[in-house]
Amino acid sequence: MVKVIINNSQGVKSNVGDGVVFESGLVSPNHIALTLGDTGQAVGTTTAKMRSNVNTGPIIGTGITEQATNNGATTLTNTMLSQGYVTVTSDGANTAVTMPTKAHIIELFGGADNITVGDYIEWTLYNDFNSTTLANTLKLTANTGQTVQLNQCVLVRSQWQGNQSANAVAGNANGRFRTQVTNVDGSTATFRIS
Amino acid sequence: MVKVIVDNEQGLVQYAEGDGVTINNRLNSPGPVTLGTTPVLAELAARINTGVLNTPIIHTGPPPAAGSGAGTHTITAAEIATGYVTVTGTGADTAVTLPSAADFIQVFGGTVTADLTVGDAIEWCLHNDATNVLFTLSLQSNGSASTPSGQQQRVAANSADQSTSLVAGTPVARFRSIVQNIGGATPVIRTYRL
Repeated sequence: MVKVIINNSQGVKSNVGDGVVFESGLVSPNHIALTLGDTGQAVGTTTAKMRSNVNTGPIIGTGITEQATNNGATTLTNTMLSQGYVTVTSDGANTAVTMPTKAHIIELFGGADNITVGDYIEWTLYNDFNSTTLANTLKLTANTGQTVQLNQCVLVRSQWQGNQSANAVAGNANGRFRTQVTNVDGSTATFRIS
Repeated sequence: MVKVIVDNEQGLVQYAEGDGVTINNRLNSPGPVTLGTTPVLAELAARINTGVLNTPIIHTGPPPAAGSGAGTHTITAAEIATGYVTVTGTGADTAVTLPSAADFIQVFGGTVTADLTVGDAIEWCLHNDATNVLFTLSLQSNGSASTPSGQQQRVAANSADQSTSLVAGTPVARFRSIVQNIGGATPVIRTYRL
């Protein structure tokens, strides 16, 4: 198919290629926005639709393949969250995994010129502890401006393959979260989504 | 970068300054992006390339719906359209009923003929905010909007200790509601646990 390129020097142009490319801009070289539908739409009606076809579901994405493992109490950074998958090995009960600072959140969401209230990303926290100590869990912990939920919603159990029926923490060794901007100063609220 | 707007009144419009691409469809309908429509089984047709250094895509949306209170509840269009519904269980298998087919029509754009396509799907979360380990939620069908059964329709409580829970998993369940049929008087909506 043709390749349609949208950039800030030529606008819309076509070429031989494989799809539509939004090239980096001079003002915001690493932050490209695609807006779908009427963003002022009434509550209760969705505004955005991503359509492929009715025979296949997943959309192919691109991203990194492997991330470094962090041992023990860890404070998250914009680099870690930008990878979408954070691995921490618990070294005790409720090993703290602390949310990033406000400065890191601003950087994560494209810098002070781009961060918008309502922006969010989804990411995974994986507990790589692999032994019989069921109490070696992770606990997502608040930071200044960064709120999290309570109880099971912030806990991630170990990946030990043995019997975990007595574990106080539910689920598997991966917790998936949504971190949403609540203030352009870098404040967020984080919710468990699975 | 430039701002490019595609809408149904002016077609393709380009501005010198802006923040990306905006697709406005009819005011009362979702603005769609189509990524490959070749109807081939087992071959993914849609791809989003963001580069290999970062994985998450920033989304913009509302915060989770305000808590829907304690006890049995029927999910509204407004709640499910936020993508995150919170109910507090007050006993074993507190019933949380899916939106009606009419409400799902509204969520998917407003009218069956213009806005719904077989295969349209949304993904959303149901969070149980109860702290009593036995106060679970049970997702219930509503007319032609049906649910899975067994553990798939149950959501555990957000208790401090989950080891005595009769329901597996975390206090947040993720579901996909998909339009299965639009040929009858009301569309058939199937909901699956993810």
